[in-house]
Amino acid sequence: MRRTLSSRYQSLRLPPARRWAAALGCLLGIALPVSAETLVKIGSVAPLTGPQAHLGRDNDNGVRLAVEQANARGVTLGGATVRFEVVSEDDQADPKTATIVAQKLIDAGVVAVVGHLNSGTTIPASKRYHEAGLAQISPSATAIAYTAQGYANAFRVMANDSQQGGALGRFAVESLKAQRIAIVDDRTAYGQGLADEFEKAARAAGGNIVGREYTTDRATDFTAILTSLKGRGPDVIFFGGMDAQGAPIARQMLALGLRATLMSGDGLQSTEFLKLAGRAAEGVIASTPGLPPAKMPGGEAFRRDFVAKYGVIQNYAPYAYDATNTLIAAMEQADSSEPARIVASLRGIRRDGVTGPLAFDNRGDILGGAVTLYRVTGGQWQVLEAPPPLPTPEAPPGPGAVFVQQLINGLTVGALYALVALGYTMVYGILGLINFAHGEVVMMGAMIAVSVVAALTGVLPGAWALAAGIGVAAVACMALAASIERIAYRPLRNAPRLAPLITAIGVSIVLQNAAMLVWGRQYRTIPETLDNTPFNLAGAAVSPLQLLILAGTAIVLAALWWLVHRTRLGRAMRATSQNRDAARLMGVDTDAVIRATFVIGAGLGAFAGVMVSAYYGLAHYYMGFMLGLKAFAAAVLGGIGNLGGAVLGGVVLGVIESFGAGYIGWLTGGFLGSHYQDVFAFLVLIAVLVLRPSGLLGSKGADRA
Amino acid sequence: MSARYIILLALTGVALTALPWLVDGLLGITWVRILSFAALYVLLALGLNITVGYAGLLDLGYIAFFAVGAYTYALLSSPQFGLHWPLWATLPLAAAAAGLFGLLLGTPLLRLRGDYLAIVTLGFGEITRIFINNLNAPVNITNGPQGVNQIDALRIGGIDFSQALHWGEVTIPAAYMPCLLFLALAGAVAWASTRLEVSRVGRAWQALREDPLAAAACGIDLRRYKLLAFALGASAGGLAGALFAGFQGFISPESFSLTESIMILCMIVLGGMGHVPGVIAGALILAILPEALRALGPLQQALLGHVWVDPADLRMLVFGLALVAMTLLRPAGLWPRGHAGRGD
Repeated sequence: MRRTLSSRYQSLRLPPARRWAAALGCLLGIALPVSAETLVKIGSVAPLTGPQAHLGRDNDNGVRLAVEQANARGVTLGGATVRFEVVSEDDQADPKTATIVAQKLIDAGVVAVVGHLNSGTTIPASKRYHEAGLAQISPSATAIAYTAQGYANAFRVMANDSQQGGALGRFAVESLKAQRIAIVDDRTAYGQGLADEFEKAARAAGGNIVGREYTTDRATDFTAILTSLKGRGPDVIFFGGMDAQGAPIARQMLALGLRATLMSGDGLQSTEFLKLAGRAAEGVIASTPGLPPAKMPGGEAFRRDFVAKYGVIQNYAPYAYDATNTLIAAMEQADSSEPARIVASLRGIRRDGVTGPLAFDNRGDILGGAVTLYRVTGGQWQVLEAPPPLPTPEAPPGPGAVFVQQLINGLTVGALYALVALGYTMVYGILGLINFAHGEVVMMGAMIAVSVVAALTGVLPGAWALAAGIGVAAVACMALAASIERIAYRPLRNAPRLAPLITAIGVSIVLQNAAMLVWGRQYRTIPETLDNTPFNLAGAAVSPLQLLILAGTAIVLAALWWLVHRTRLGRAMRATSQNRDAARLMGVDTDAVIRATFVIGAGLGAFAGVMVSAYYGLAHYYMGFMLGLKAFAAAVLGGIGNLGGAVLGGVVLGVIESFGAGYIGWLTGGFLGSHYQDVFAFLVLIAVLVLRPSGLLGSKGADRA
Repeated sequence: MSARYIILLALTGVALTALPWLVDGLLGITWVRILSFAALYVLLALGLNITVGYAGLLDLGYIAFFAVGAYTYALLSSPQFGLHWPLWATLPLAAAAAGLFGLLLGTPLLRLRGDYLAIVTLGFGEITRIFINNLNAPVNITNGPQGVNQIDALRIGGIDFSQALHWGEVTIPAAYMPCLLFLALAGAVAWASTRLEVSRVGRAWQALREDPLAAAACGIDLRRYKLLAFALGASAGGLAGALFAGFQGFISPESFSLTESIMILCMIVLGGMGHVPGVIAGALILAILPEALRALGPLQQALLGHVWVDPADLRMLVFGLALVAMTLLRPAGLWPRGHAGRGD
């Protein structure tokens, strides 16, 4: 007894009388012991908590909607009426948890599973389902490895990386007629997989790949790799990765005057990208597997039902919905809910879902695998009908101009490192303690400023709002630092070495997670407060913001120098750092001096944090960690305890990073690339500590190393 | 070794063997799986305890050794290179590889103390992860971010630890098998740790931890003992890594992040640095905690009608608070070493 989709959709819309009858029938079915209803459990697993909870719950809702509709219309298997029940599990996007909950589902007696969401969880879990003989349909895992395992029970309803990357690659070469293609990926399983497939398809179609660069899924600074690519004059840049990185890439391309079209996959094709990229999103092309909503049969009905019950569709709910309906259809086709027969039935199923026609090839991938291209036009994603003409790229800058650009970028980042490094070095000079939590205080400054600027944007003109943001952030961070010193560090001033360090790590974790709870996990944008159009300087594109950072840092440093060398407080600080006990004997209130040191460091850090978020246009609860580590490396490089050293170290480190990421591929003949960008700061740190522990300008605490 | 000691050991062995049945009976079979992971964490905590608790060398990049062990096993027992070496070769090799890595890492760091050592080891941990994530070009060694899949299950002799064991009339369910193996190994390493603590090496470590200058003045070769601490701690981590790879069948660089290193550090700080029972307690508490925290979601829903705080988000916050609170209020940990006995 096989029903086609169209009859099913018609019968979903039960007239009221029949709905009441159905409800009464269900009630009676539960109440009366003589009912012939069998319970069939379907497993649904996705990250229901954590950073991808919004996507995971979306999937789960898709499954639930399908099951609800199936139950409403009534399904009979093997002569008995069947009621479906969804058993939901949370895998937290973690492979370990995924295998545990897979076992939970198997033990709960589900007949099949819709899940998981990520490739990294789907693959290890699939082994469990395979051993248990349960059918598994993933609505959104795209890694090729999932179906390459050869498990007969593994299926997916979304085009995999090969299908999506392939379509994009061919499109770039054949339709867009790109002459010089550059590729960047974020070194995650998804980003790298997609980018590799894109490259393969583009090369096969005869495309010219001029460069391949790498980044990470936590980075916000892409200026080094973009500058390096700019020197090769690309007209298309393909990015394999998510919207949280794609957005700053688009913005920095604009700031660097890099006039290439940005292309990407479904990771970018979201409203979040539009929000984060702002003006820079215009003209970006991205794809999504499946048919466009207008062409989806039953898409409107699904959208209406889903939105009415669960609110906005995040991303993959239609796929989860289709996966579940395909499962139910397979059961109906086999007229059984036995797991082995479901698997066999799925292999031969053919139906239409809301995302397009559904059938599986012999590996379990979706047959055909439609991919739709979208382009940002007028600030919205529109389906791309005809390939747009590519803007003629201007002549690429010569190597000299690239060098100057990398230098300026490096100096700017270096100035930011210097500001943060000062906080580390001052505290170390006085207390001999690495204030691990300093990076997080900087992050707090950035987050507070983002909130303040966002609140004041309509009320005050741009520059004033930014200034207000800096002011409020500085005050808040100073208070925060003073409290941390009082609560966490002062009681441990005479404790053994390890204790304050462990506490510092603990405070840093607490701050990071508190920020995550308050401001959420998604990236926050800072509204554009200044006109940031770059101008030309010796062939390099310099933005006003970069100059502001350099000028601001210089002013702040001058003020600090004046404080330390020309005021009483400064003299007290210098005395305390030389010998705390002697200073106390001389009448210096060392507690107050220590507090002042933390406070000043925090003020500098807050300014740096605001500048960082203004420069990249983003603030994120995790941004303090790497920034703090690198700034510490800068402080050590210059000579810990030495103020001038911190500044020098910061600038030198910024420049090393910029040149390193830009030229390392060329230097090592392609053996190492920009994927090792983050390693530079650590290597510098290790080299300094092993070879010249006192740093470039000599340190105060040379006995520590 | 007194008779009392041997009886104690035997009783512990019996208790460990009975544990999976007990847990299954009380809490269900999912908790047996959770217990398996917890046993791996106990192994890791014991390893870090050697480096941090005994020798006082704060290592924030410990997870790198876990990764080295896991990848060594994975590369020798998976389709990646087409090698399928037997367990009696790969487990020791994984531990040895990690131990060697520990030696290599420790050598340039011998002069560093305290804060610097912590940051540099953190750096090394991150560097290791970045290299593992990117060693898929030009030569594909680790398969990069895609990870290594279809790793062989743990098999000794004829016993496959991913399948149920039928021994005459007795059947041991498949979920119990890895649990028993991990508990046995964790127990063995715990026992070895306690013996190490009271040995000459352990006393040298204690001296090194409490006052390196005085220790050197007494003729203790600091260099050798520091390297030994690094190497032994790393080997334990490597062993745990190999077991993890065989158990899960799939590993990827995202399982070896800094967060894990910090969590293991939390475990020993919470439990009691340098005291094996405390370390085990800390490891079990923190390994079980995420599962226990999950109950907070429905609890909030029931009490407040809305989930205000996502339980998964709370995990790290609780870790951080625990670190701060323990160090300020009870630096010796929840279960510190009793003061009667080895001079404290």
